[in-house]
Amino acid sequence: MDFAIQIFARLHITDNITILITDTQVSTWIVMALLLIFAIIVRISSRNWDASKRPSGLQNVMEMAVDAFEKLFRGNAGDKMAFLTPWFFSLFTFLIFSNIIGIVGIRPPTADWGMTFPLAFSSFLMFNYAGLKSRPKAYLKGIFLEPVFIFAPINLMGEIAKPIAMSFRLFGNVLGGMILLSLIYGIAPLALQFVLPAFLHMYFDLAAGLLQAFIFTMLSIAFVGLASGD
Amino acid sequence: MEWYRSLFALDADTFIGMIPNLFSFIVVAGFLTYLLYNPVRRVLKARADRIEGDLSSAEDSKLSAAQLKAKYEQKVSEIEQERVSILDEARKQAGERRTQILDEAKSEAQDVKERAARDIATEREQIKSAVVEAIVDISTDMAARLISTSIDKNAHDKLFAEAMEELEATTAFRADTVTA
Repeated sequence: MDFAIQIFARLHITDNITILITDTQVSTWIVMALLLIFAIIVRISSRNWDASKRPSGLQNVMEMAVDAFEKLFRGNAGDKMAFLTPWFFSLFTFLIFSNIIGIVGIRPPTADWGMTFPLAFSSFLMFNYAGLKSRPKAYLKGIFLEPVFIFAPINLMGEIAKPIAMSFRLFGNVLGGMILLSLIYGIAPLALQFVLPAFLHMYFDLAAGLLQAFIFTMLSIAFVGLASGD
Repeated sequence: MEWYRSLFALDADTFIGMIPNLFSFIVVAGFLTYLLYNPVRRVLKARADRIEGDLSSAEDSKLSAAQLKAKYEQKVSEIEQERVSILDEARKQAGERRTQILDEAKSEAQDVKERAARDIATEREQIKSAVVEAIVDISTDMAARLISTSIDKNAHDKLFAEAMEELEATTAFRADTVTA
């Protein structure tokens, strides 16, 4: 049984730079396509949405989701950084779709550290941007001069560790669930392969997937809030 | 050529592979923001603005109603003051009129009384004069009769009695006239 990442193609950009088209990329494109279709449906549907009438159906669900997420973001990161809400909403939506796509037998993109680290790195850029934009002196002082300047290397390591820890937490959880389910499929008798994995998919893909998406997003938002001082 | 990669490796392929992954997510974020988040946010904002407008309008109406109420209360207060003032003035005028009517009535009654007293006194004087005249007439008549005829004692008494009856009748007639 091989859990390794499959390579479908190699794109040679230069002699030294080659981009591998792996199943991570393919499943990412599938997730992108699903999200794009969903977003287009919402966009088309939104043309008939009337703010003066009581919302129902898809409008109700989307309004509730966006409103709840915005309140969550403002509650943890403050109002000053509210313009970053769409980015983190997209991150949360992308992670949910990426984590639970394993239910239909596609390898989750987040089971590859090559996917989780860029996402964590983008969050790292966001909370550093938030800190430098909202209170640059205090933010830099907090890293380099607190409690005293000799702690600066430790503080720097702490800051760098944030995206690494976040990326490994998500990667490990999703990969662990995927490996466990693959092992169950491998060792379970044929009769049980239609019953037992269903419950495990519910936990490892759906529950754990949603939970990890929420944890990753909440940590990113909390770091933004800490950095911006709100 | 290898067609599988290990689950985790810190090599060039991994880090180069991160670039399209990050780019993919940026594209997804752009799509989701433009196609999904912004339209929903726009509807939410429109609803929030409408509710805020309704609340503001209701607040304005409430303020306007409060001002109108204060204005009406002031008018009612002014009308009440005016009513009290008019009533006081009317009472005052009625009192003055009453006093005036009473004074006039008293004066008129006094006049009537005085006039009646004067009339009574005049009538009394007239009766007195009439009685005196009657007495004088009768006496003269008696004296004339006495002188013209010789009368005996019985005739004398009879003559005297007739004179007295005439006198009484004249006096009674005068008294009835005065009383009437």
